[in-house]
Amino acid sequence: MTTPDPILASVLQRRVQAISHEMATVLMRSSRSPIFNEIGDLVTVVFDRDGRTLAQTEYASIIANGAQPPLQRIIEYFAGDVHDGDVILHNDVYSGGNQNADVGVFVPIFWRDQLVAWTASKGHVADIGGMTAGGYDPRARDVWQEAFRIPPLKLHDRGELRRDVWDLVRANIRLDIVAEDIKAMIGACTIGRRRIVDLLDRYGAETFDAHMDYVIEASERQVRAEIERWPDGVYRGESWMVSDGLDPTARYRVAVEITVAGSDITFDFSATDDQAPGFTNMPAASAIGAIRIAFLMLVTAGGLSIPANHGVFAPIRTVFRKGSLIDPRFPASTIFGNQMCDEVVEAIMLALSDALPDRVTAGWNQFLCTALNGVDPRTDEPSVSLTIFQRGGPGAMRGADGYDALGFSGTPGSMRSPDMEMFELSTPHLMHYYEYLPDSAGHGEWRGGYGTRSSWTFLGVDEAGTTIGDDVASEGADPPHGLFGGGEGGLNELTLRFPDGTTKAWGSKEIVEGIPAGTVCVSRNGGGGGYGDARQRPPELVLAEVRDGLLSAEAARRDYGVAIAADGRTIDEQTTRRLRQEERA
Amino acid sequence: MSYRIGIDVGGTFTDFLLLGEGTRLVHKTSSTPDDPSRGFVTGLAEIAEQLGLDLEAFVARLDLIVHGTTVTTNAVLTHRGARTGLLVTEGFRDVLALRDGTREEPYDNRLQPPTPLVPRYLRLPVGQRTDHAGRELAPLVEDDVATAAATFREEGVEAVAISFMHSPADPAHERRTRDLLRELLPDAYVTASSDLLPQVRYYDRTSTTVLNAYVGPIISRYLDALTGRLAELRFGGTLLIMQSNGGVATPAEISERAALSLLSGPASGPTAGLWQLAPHGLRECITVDMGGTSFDAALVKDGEPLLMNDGTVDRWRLALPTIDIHTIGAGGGSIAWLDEGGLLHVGPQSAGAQPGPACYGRGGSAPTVTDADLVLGFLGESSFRHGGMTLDRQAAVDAFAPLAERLGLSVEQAAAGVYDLVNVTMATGVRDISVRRGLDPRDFPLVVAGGAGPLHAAAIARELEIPALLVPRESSIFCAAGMLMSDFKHDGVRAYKTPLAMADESRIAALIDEMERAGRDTLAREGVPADRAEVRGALDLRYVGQWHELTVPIDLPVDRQAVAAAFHEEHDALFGHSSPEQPVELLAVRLVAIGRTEKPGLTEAGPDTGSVEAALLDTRPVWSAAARALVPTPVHDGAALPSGARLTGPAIVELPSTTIVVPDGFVLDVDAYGAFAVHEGERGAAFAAGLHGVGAAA
Repeated sequence: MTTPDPILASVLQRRVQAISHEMATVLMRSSRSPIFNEIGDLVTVVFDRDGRTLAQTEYASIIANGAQPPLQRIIEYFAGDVHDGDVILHNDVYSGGNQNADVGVFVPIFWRDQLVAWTASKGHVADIGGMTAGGYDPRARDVWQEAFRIPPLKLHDRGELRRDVWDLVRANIRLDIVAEDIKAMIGACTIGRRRIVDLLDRYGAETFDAHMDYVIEASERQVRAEIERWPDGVYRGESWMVSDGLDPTARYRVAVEITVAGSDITFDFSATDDQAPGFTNMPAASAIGAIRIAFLMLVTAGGLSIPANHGVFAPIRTVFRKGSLIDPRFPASTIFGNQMCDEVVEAIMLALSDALPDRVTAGWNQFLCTALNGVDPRTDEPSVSLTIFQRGGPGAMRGADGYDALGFSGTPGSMRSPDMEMFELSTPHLMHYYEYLPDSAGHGEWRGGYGTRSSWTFLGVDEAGTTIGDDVASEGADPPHGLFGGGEGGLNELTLRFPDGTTKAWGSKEIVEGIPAGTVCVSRNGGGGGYGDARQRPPELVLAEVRDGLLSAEAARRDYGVAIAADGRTIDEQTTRRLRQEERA
Repeated sequence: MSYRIGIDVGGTFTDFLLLGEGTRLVHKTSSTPDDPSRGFVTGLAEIAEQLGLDLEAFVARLDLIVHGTTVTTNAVLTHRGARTGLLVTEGFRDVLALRDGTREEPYDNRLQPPTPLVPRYLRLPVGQRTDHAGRELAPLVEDDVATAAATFREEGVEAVAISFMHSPADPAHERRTRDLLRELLPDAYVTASSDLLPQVRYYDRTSTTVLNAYVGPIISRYLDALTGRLAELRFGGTLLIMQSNGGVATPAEISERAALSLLSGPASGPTAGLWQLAPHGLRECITVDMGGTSFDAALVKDGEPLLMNDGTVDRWRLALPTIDIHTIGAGGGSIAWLDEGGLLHVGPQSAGAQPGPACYGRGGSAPTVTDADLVLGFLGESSFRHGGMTLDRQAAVDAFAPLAERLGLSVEQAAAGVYDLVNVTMATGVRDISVRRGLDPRDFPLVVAGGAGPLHAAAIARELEIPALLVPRESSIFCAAGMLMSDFKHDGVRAYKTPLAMADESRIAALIDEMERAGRDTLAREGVPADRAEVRGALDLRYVGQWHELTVPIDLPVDRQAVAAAFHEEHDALFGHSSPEQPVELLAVRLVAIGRTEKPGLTEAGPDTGSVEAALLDTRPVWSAAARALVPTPVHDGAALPSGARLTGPAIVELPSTTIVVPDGFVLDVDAYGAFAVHEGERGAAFAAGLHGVGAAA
């Protein structure tokens, strides 16, 4: 047995991380589906022979955990039947997948005839069969309606493409570009394989394994040292999802019980409500991804910055109740599941707010955007677009305002917005405005992030749209909570104004078909919750936002106790002092 | 009168390289950040003194000054640019602040967005709207422009950026607004986005235009002051400024397009690398430059430095073509540390110049890369004597002791670990710039610059399986040298989004023609004779649905099928696959106008006489990776090694401003120009054998 050299371990860790990064670079630049390469909804991973994560590069956090559970199934399924040159495809949420539209490619790596490692790429494809293009359809009641299921499937066998299998997959997916994306994923895995083999040629399998073990153990020690600093105890938190796509007022509780004991942490979601009849169910792999996002935010707030590998998540135990909203029973539809990251993160942050007041955030505005499809009259070609520029604000934390218009917690800042000009050039829509939404940030010593307002006219032929998200005011959602005296954030409002003058309040998970050209959509996406007493916020910061037109003078006075002089450019010091004292008295 | 001088003003030092009249003179002087033109002139005076001339007599003999400056970069980094206003299409007031919607560290909820270079109260909406096809949907509300101008005047705004939706499709509203502002605010520096960068993507164009306006008055004032000082000295030659695209331009051009100077300094590095190799008939290399705090890598392919259109300056998009320089926060000052899990890290924290590495004896106690180099014997205590500093090896050993103890290793082993780890990190950066382009780093020699570069380059090369590297004799003034070798270069772009199959070849030709005329006019204004001007066209292409486009060179007249074929081929080369049956989309037409300058050749710089034996200074204990211990190793005086000299590693070669480590297994050859080729194995030997002057000495 090799005695690990701590230096070589650090060096090899760096090299393996660079390999996953190179795979992601290749994938990002060569993929086709807009949601895949525009949003960056993808991850690349290097695993050891047993399927433990050695390094990964994620552009979308919620998918980051999505490659590892399927690999476990693949290893079990093909036990003893994995060969050099195999390429395995997978998406199925009932064999480890996180979302059916997130398709993974897995490549085993052999060195001197021994299986030594795996590479994987996974990304969100533009279509995966099912009854609706793009997959998001609140009417789906079971998994077959929303996707073509791909359990572990060999696409290449010992280096040979299985043409019949490939044609079966292609025959069940609407868009050719998805096949191109799968090719790009295979390309990324192949490059990863080449690099790992180079590494093994240099060091040999025994040295590689021993040092990767050392790296995983070192990461685990580091994370455990952080959890040790968290006070032991049992903490509970909950959040609510409103509307299940069938009943707009249906309310579902997402509840977590977190147990911190020494350096172990358990996230138990058993008390979450029963599964929904529609598509608002979250596969376990997706829920684990959401838990890891909250966990990484908490440890990052503690000052740690470590690349994710098996060891980082080793102290985490997760518990779900089969048949609940998280980890539903077969064959429930689940394609909305990734979106429920917002609810999972909120429940965790709330649960730990007293235990870790320096690390948690106040409530985030839950994401809401639309998926649109129709025909672009300029080209007579089908057009699919995602309006992910619609963004709310995250909650504030101690020492930091929320990051304005950050959007979805499941891809916190890794999700790119479509450029406004490119959006108009590529899809049949005309934008009227897209700006910060004034007065939308929850007040506090540290304020929540601002949300946005946006509006566009539909110009496509026979357009249909589905809303993806939560927190719609008209459905009775609860605003993002403030913390330690901070104010609540804001909700989302989406309105359609049809050419005949009628209007419609668009719900959170609602499909609207036959949208006539000339219809105007108006969207307001709320801000995040504030943290701490707003009267402690330095008045000059309040003034700056008034000057910038982000905060009204009324809100400055009411929420912050800051009086702005008539010129709109200076603080009325005397009144401000009085207002702030009154509040304290 | 025939001197040419390259002047690279950096944060700490201003570097000079003087060529001509059989002279090759290297000079360094301290920078004067409050007024960089002062250090500039002080350096000229010092050089005149060295030549035994008075300053005016020296300046009178200067034909050409090429100048790289960090004035604009520093203005952005320190938020000391001009007070700037921004006019945008009504409804899009936050196009700047929203950026592309990303946060650089996804899990770090404390990370704040960058403070916009224009505050929101100076980002003002103007009623007007043009659609994607250039049709006017709403006329320009000139009153809005007048109201905004009044606000700008009241707020003391010195520069205004104008960026309207789809202005590349029809710039009429931007032009009218620009003309109105010139009347209303005659002293303001005004930039219209469609003049600067008529290409699609509203945020990219707006951010670039704001950067231009923000630094416009700064660089204009600086260049005015500089040309004034030079005029006082009766300078009668040409002053050229280094641009971020790797070309040079006149001060008048740079004053108009100020953002072109944002990465002026390091942009000449790749050209300098090429200059070292060109006499040997080589046209490709990777240049690496390692200093105290950062490591820069760039790539030269087919005789041209690689460019990018999606760079950033202080988190803001700079969409002008810019030399693709990959910077890593790893340098001599990077601090080594152990995490709680026991894994070793180097950086990103740096001891900087103050307090600096422990061995500087200025109060630093953290172990740094330079301390590791000293512990390992790569540096000696007197290696920095030309800078007037003695290094304290005991202090370096003491700094490493706690780290070594925690690792259960000797101090030398711990230092060797730091050396290995920082080399792997830098190698990763080099790999990154090449794989992003589908290129294999093994196909490129390294050209090495910066004080710390030659200490680490052989190890980096070995990590990347690169067989050879070249260390120029004056590697520390590398960028100043590159400036003297750069051509005039002006980039044009025009948006034209259409399926390639439907693209109108005559329209492409018309756009090319328009840009060619503009480019040739600019070159003519700069005094470039017509026979030294050339243009090259290119198209930005992608598969329908892709986010990233590739820039594919074209020949005129444009043949769509040939262009499509070239695109598929380029895609295959970069990403390993292509889809000839898939539709290709055109986004923009590009043209670069190049004015070839006369380049001084390399002058032979090594001493004519001497020998390896005579150059031997000393023997000191130096780390051997093979023996895992310090072993006695010869130390040579590089200045005394003549062309044709060869020595075999392990060896150390000391030069006034750097030290070359020749590890066991490597060979060092001195070429005809006095540069040091360090190579390994058969491929490396073959590379060296192709260099002029190698092996000439017996």
